[in-house]
Amino acid sequence: MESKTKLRRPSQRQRPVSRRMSRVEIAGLIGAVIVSVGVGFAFLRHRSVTPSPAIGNFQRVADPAVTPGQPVPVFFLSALYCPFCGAERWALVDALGRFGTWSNLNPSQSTAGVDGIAAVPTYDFVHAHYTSHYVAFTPRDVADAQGNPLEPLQLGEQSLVNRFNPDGGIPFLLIDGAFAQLSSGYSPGLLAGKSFAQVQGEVTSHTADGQAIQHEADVITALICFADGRQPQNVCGTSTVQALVAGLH
Amino acid sequence: MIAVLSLALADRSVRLIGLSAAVVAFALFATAGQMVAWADGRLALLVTPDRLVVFVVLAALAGLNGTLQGYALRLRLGRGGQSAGVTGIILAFVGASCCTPLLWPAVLSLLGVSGVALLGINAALHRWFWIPVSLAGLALLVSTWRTARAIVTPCPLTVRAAAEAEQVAL
Repeated sequence: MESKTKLRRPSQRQRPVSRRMSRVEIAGLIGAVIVSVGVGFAFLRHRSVTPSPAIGNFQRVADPAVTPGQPVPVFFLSALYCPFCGAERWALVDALGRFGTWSNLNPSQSTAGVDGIAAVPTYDFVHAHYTSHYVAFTPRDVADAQGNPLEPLQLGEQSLVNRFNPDGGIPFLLIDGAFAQLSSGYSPGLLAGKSFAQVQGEVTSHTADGQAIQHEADVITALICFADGRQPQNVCGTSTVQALVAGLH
Repeated sequence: MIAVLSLALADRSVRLIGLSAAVVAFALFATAGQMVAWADGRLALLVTPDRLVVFVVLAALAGLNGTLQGYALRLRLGRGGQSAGVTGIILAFVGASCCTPLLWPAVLSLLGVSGVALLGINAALHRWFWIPVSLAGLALLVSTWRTARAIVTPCPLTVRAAAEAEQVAL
């Protein structure tokens, strides 16, 4: 009788069956942890680096230093293989051309076929020179068409990347140390497969694809105008740029 | 292998699992490799034959693997192949990444990797694109093979199970 009672004790009857986790469960758990941690950190970093939207795809990452008479620093981080970088260069050439003079600016293209990236016609910044009273432009192509190291970053540039582009993505455009854009302002698919002359023609004849480049150029122009106290007047005084600058206040 | 696969594909739910695995894997690789990207309200399609072939092959392997894994799960077999499969998918995802990677830089930051270091890794991954992608394909093949073997291998009869069976028979 006593032994029967002992056998029926709830603690013994309800003891859970011990079970080892199967490999599927372990693999699933590891995958879930990696994805959760990645998404969580990506979200936190995104929030810490890009506090508020500015105009276009730009984010205001710090308080802009409006310094009339001083050249506005413009830092462009890219690689020759990257199609998004190739697309952004068109808008940069257009926008910076309004503030200064380009020389030795030659056609180039992002890598096609060899590394599996669609060819995007673009400009070569590695050999180009830019002079301006209003803009201090620093382009850095960190890798060539195959991904080999090309232009090393200076110490100050490294700290900019670590601070404002902690994921190391390209293209990365930073204007006045305050407005940052990661990736291109418009789709490189608009340019993929076209020739350099074709894209040039689209920009000058204001086709739909050309207008996308022009719009990005206007956004860059407006950010520079905002930072340098709207100089020069013939560039910053246009209605399009003024409207964009107004959106920054 | 073909016999196991035809056995697995005979099951409708397993077919669905395999197809879903292939479609999800392809979407994942295409997005990570920025073959498909969203920029300024437009969809960017940067398709080139070689990258497309790589992604299709990897997605097909993931689908094949998913089919067999699904069938093994259905048979309640927990032996072999799953960890290699997960490794393959992660390697493929890393290898497929392009200019602005989505997920893994955030994971690497856990290890204290800086933005400049990640930039170097991104470029190096572009340079050595074929290494992680080949390893991913290999891992998925190993996983598929091990899962197929687990399906065809008869269940081992333990001493305890044999004793229990004997007792029941008596």
